[in-house]
Amino acid sequence: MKAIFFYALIPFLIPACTTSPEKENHLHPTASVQTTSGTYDSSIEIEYNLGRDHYRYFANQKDQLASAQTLLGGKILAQGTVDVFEYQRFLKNAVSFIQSSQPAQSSSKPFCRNAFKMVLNTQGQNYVLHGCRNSNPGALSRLIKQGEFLLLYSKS
Amino acid sequence: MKKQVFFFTLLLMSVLFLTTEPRSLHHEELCQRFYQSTCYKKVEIQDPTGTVRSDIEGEKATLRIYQEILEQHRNWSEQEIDEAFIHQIYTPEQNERIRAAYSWVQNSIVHFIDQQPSSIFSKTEKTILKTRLQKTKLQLPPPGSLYMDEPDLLTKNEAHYQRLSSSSEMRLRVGGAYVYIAKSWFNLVATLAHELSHSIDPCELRIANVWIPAYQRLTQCFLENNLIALHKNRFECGSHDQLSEVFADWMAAQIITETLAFYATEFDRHQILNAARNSVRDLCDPEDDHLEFDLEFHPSPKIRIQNIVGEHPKLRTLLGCSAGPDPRSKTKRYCMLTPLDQPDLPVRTK
Ligand SMILES: [Zn+2]
Repeated sequence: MKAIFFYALIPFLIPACTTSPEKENHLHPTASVQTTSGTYDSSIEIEYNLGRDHYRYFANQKDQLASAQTLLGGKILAQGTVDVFEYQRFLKNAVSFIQSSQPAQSSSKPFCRNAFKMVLNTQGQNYVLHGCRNSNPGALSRLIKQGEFLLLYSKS
Repeated sequence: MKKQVFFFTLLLMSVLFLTTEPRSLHHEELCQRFYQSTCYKKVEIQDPTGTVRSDIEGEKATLRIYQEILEQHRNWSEQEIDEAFIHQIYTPEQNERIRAAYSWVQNSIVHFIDQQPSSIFSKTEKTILKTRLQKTKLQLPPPGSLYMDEPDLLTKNEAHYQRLSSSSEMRLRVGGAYVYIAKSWFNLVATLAHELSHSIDPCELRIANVWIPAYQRLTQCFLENNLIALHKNRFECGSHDQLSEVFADWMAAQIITETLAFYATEFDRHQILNAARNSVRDLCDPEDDHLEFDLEFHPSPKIRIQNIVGEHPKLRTLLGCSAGPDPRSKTKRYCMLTPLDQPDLPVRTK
């Protein structure tokens, strides 16, 4: 099951602007996260540009503890421990997001005003996705909002 | 006793001299070093309409508000929390203010285009540009559902122009942190002018298959004056290209200048100076904060503030600076729209 998870994820984690995903290799997100739940360390990092500002969101789980932080231009906006169950839900959505990212045609390099980079680490493996905020309207924004909500909710 | 009074007076005068900024020196500094004068961090600049706070302050403040709502209503859904947040940030007064600024900016850019002679923009070109400007809609919540496809914007210190590839809809949205801290009217005008100008920037027009010769001459001027960084991997309107951002800054400079000219009869010279500085203060290099920001598509803060805005000839005149260009500037001349046959303007000499 672990191996299936790794190999299935690889096609989606190559830079989205230059490659096409192979649909038949789609990973089933629920199954993978259930496997990792509470068992493996994991982390999700999203770096993105909005206008001239550079943002970074980072959340991770180590043993049974999860934490997150959100930064603007390298400065911390908020940070703290987060609910492990909610973190797992977020991880699951991050995996779904990677799967559903629509890469551009490899023949051209599209103009991307608001680029992002996402790094998912789970079960000791790193996966990197480069993309454009507008290529899947709303998807990245919702994921970031969910991450920030998770952080603020846990802090309160 | 007389001696004591004399020394006390001398001391008082020295203190006054050291603590008050001599108007003439301050003014001279602004003329020659608009960037430094604008970005000097330790002094908050008060224009007649307000001040400008940093991006990070705005975002921290709005996240705190969001968290307070969460603490008070832990059983609420995310949607309910968003609505309460929007109610607190996007107040009718704030939205009205932003709408008024947007309308001012939209009309000002349309007016700027209309004013150009036919040797710069043909009638058809003017129609295309004005239509795009007028089709770009300002979207401000409530309702919260308006930003459902971009919910993270609610706590961001951003205003941004977007064109949806699916529907060709053009829209301008303003993040909650910006709404919360946008106090200076002049900063609001400059920010919205920059964003709305993206709807008619050369790269957006290229996507719409529109080629305007006057734009090509303007682009050439930007390149010759090093306003656009010549990155080795630069691909015009693609990666490592600053054309669309330089154009948006340049157009915003025209609008800031016209706005300040309008208020020049109402405000005194010092107020106009501060309004000019506040209009671009949020573009300052946050070196005190050691913040990282994009330089792939955006020129450096110094180019944006000093060369694109601060060296606008009409702005310099308004600020009481010498009418001619600053001889110490790195640029050869200030870029303006020119007709095809117009010879180059005199190159400034060092
Ligand atoms: Zn811009």
